[in-house]
Amino acid sequence: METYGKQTYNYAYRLAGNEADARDLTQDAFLRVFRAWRSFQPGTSFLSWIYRIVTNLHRDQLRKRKGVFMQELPHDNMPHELPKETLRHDPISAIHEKQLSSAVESALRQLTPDQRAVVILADVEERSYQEVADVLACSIGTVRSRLHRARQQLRKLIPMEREQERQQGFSI
Amino acid sequence: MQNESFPACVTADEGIAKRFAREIHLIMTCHDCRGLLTDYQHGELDAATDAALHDHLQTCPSCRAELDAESALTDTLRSAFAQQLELPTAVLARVRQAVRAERAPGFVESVRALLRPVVLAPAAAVIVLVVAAVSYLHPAPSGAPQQLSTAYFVQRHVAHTMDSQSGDPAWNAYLLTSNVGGADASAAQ
Repeated sequence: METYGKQTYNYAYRLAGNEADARDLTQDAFLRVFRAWRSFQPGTSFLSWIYRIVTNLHRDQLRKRKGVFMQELPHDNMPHELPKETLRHDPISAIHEKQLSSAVESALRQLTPDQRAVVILADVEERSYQEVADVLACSIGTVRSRLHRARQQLRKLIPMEREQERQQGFSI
Repeated sequence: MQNESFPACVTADEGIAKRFAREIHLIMTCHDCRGLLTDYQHGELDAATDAALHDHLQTCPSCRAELDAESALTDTLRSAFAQQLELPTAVLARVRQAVRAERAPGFVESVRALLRPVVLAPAAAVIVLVVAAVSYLHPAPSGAPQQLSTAYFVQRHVAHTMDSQSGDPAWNAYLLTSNVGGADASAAQ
């Protein structure tokens, strides 16, 4: 864990966009590595394996959250029972925690989880298409098309987000 | 076969690749070029296409401007994620704690593990072997069990006492004259 922990944590942070989720993702990923140690194939990249686990966990996390937000209000108008993870959230400590640059982060958040993972792996971590394909368990052609599409979107979204930030700055 | 349009240091394969690249370049449009810019930037094109695109960029200012925009986006992304965070020690501690908890089985699991056939069968075989060896080396005495009675113990005591010298003449006279144990004592012997 000492060897791959930092890299995994940084990847999780880039994927999730905040430290709290990155911590949970890293912890869960290493626990899965411990439990499924025998399924690791010698000769393949260990880091790619952990990255794949982190990517899948992040996808699950987003899916669960989407489910929570889409829940209907109870008919009897009683307070909604939130999951424990939501109750543990401390807004004061959240302010002190590191968050990604807001314009880039807002733009990235509008991409699909797979597109976001491709951008982080290929552009930020400078991994080859083959390595990205290994992590995401897809073909090189899929990596190529996802990256192309994601970058096209980002070229439109980042200037828009910056413009919004600038306008909000003036209004304050 | 060496291509004459390339210097002698260029191998045949490289020469063919470059000639092929020039041929592609002749038909490469700006549309083709822009579709390949991301791959070009990531170094994921084959040698021929890479060379053709490179040549196209030398002669096409609008495609070069497009490449600059792509490069600017990559720089923006890399600078946004430039900071390398250290792994929090709390994460390390929580993982270690969870792993340790999963490794240590509970009482029921321990008992269940001991009762597995893999463990139980060899253990039973060892016990049977030990019992067999002990009974072989120390066999049980055969015949009727020795009868224990009051007369037997008196007889034993008398026999023991007769071996030792006693200073009591009355006792000695009793020992010589009495028929201690009688039939019981002889049966016990």
